[in-house]
Amino acid sequence: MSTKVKNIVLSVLMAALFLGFFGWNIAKSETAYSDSERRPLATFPELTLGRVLSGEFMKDFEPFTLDQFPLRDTFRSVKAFFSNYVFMNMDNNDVILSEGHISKLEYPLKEDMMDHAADRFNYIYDSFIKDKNAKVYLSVVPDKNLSLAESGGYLTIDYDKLASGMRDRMDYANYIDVYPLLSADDYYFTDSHWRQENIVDVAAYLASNMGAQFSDDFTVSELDNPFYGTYYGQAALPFIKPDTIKYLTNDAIKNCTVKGVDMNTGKYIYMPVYDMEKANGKDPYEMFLSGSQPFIVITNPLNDSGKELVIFRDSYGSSLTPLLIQSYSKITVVDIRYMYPQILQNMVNFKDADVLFIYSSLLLNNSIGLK
Amino acid sequence: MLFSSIPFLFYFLPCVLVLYFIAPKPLKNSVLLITSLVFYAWDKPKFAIIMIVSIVLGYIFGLLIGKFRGTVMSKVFLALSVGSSLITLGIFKYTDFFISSFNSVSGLAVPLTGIALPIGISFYTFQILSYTVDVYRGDVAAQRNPISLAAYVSMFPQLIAGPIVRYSDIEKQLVSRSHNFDLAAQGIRRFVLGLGKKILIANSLGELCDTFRASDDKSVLFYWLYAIAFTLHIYFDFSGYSDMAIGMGKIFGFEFLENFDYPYISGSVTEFWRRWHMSLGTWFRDYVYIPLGGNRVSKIKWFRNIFVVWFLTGFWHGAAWNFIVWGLYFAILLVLEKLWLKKYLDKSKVLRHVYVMLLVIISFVIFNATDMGEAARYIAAMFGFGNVPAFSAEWLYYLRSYAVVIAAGIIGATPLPKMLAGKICAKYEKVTNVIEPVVLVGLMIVMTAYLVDGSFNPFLYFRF
Repeated sequence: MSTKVKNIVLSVLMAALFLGFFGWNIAKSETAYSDSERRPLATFPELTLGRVLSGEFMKDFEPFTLDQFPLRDTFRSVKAFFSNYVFMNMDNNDVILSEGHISKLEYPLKEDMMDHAADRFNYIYDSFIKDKNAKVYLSVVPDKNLSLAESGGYLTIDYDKLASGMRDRMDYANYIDVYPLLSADDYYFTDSHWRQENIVDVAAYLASNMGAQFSDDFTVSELDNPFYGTYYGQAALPFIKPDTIKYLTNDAIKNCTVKGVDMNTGKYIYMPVYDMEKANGKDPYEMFLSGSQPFIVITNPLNDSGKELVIFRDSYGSSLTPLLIQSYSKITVVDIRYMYPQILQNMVNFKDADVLFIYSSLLLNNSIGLK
Repeated sequence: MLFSSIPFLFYFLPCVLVLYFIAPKPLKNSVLLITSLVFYAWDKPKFAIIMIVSIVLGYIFGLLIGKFRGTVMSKVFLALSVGSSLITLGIFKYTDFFISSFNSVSGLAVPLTGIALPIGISFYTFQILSYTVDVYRGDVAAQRNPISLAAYVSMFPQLIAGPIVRYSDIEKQLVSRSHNFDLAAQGIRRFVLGLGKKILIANSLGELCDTFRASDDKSVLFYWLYAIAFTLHIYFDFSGYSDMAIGMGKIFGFEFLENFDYPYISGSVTEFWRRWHMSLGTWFRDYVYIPLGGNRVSKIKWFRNIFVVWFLTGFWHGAAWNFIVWGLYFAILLVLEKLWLKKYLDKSKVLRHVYVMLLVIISFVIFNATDMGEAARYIAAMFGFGNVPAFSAEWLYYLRSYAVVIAAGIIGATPLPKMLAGKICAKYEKVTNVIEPVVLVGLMIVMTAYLVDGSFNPFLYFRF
């Protein structure tokens, strides 16, 4: 090819690229939601003379063009590939790949977030629990970076400092240390959460520390559909294999009743322990106790000990709680990200109950959502 | 609007290219003018009014200076033109600096105006200034066609971050210029490589600098990593922009002058400034330094001239004391080199490069500081006086994470890649002629991927 022809080819190819994507951008219909990123996408901004003159339209136009760009996910994959394998960045948008796992940098440790979390927990303790002869426990669930970060050389929070910091701030609670029981493989490869089938020992240890009976006799079932965790979409590397969700059952789980609160009407509704509709939804992990629920009461007719447990938890508690059903007659599960704790007064009887505050390091280090 | 943004690359640019190339020859400048105004008004429409007023004044004064050339009136109109340009710049760029400086000295609390800085005002003001001065000097004739003059000042490729294009350099091209595939291909190549410098290297290193600033785990080595990263960042950011401007200029038939010539391979600070932001350096040389007498005066006046030019160079970059100190820092180094340092520098090739880079790196720490206090703290910390450990976990992590980008930046800041590419192309011309378009299109796709994935990162020189 002569230089002259090369110049023509280059000019034509580049013109085709710019004009082609321009035309595609104009012709393409809007996508409302990104499944891979699990977020709504920006739509075409309102176009008025006032918004143009004030610059508001232009400000909103850029995010629209980024979100609605044709082949967006493919482009994100190209970027992730170059970032990870050509420029050898340790992370791509804070997403890391280590030992077959996708994870996200959680750094640095935020003392103000720990303060906020402890402030909310202390409010609950002082307001409702203090004089109720309840036994209070605290457990911090490490995210999988505890195992991945050191070997991979990634930045990570000081987990011991987090645990001791929370213990110091909640001196009324008995601390149950589950760190030694968890390794990277106890978590999904593509998600932040732990695998229910791998935390039976954690549940047993918690139960034992709270003086409750526990049997590790469970039946393991598996979902047919693949599980693409939250980090899968963020990593944008399509060659990573999805996970499989397994869930455990026993007689207590089969026979219990689960009562939640409809977040729209405020009325009680019955729900399954494992929500098969959600198992087939956008985030199959939400199958565990139906995902984001502010308040759940689980009654176990097979346990007549009268023992009651109140769990204050985040999403890690969703897959843990079913394993503890056998050990109690009644478990109340509270998520103060979705409800104000002030109303607990009329909803929970803490008298003589076991109260477990179990939160992940991710939540404690980003606790601003706790009400 | 940023060159390195989806709205520019995949909405604005295709429209401009289509309109420009379908427009008949007499209308091409009008298309450039209208699209440039849209480009400029995109982020802050009201700022376009300031630019239009500046252009109108430049046009009228240019005509008047040309009409009365050789008379006192010509001088009067030149003074009015220079005065109006500098007053505009002063109001929009320096008012709050003067007020805060006055407050610091007097102890008063005169409220700041909060006037926003119109982007690119320093660039287009200097272009208008050079035009009217050149008309006064008789170097160029006054432009009678307002569209041609407005197209020159507002031409979007060089409007908001240079290079500072002299009217005399493109006077003929405004009237007649050629368009062909060879020029277009040269322009595309330059544009894509400039975009690559910006997106793949400058933006990456910019993130590293931001991360450093936000870090609570600073260490001596992390300070150095930041200083080196910023030194590379500013070069790739600014020279990348210049490459894009020059590339687009070629596509539209204009030849803009080069703005950078591998400044980091310089063997002295004097040489560095011959290679860095050349359009600004030559502007100050021709419109300030030489009119003051240059070096053909007594030694005292010569040094005064150097200090005046470098004070103004620093002040041009920003309305803050650290920019003034940055300019004067170079003035001192230039004087020292002229007095006695040069003979020592000539003795060792390695040492003189170490000397230049060390001083340039320190200069950019001053340049990028939020104030002189921060600059002093950062420089002290770099030399172990910052009460921070020698190294930290964050330093190691980010060094590992950005090692490839930094290495690419260091190599890319030398003529080595260009030399190698030239040799390979010369030896295997037929093969590289096939590969080159594919590589450039591939590079464009990768950069699009980076843009689609990330949030935008403004060019550093927009603020000047």
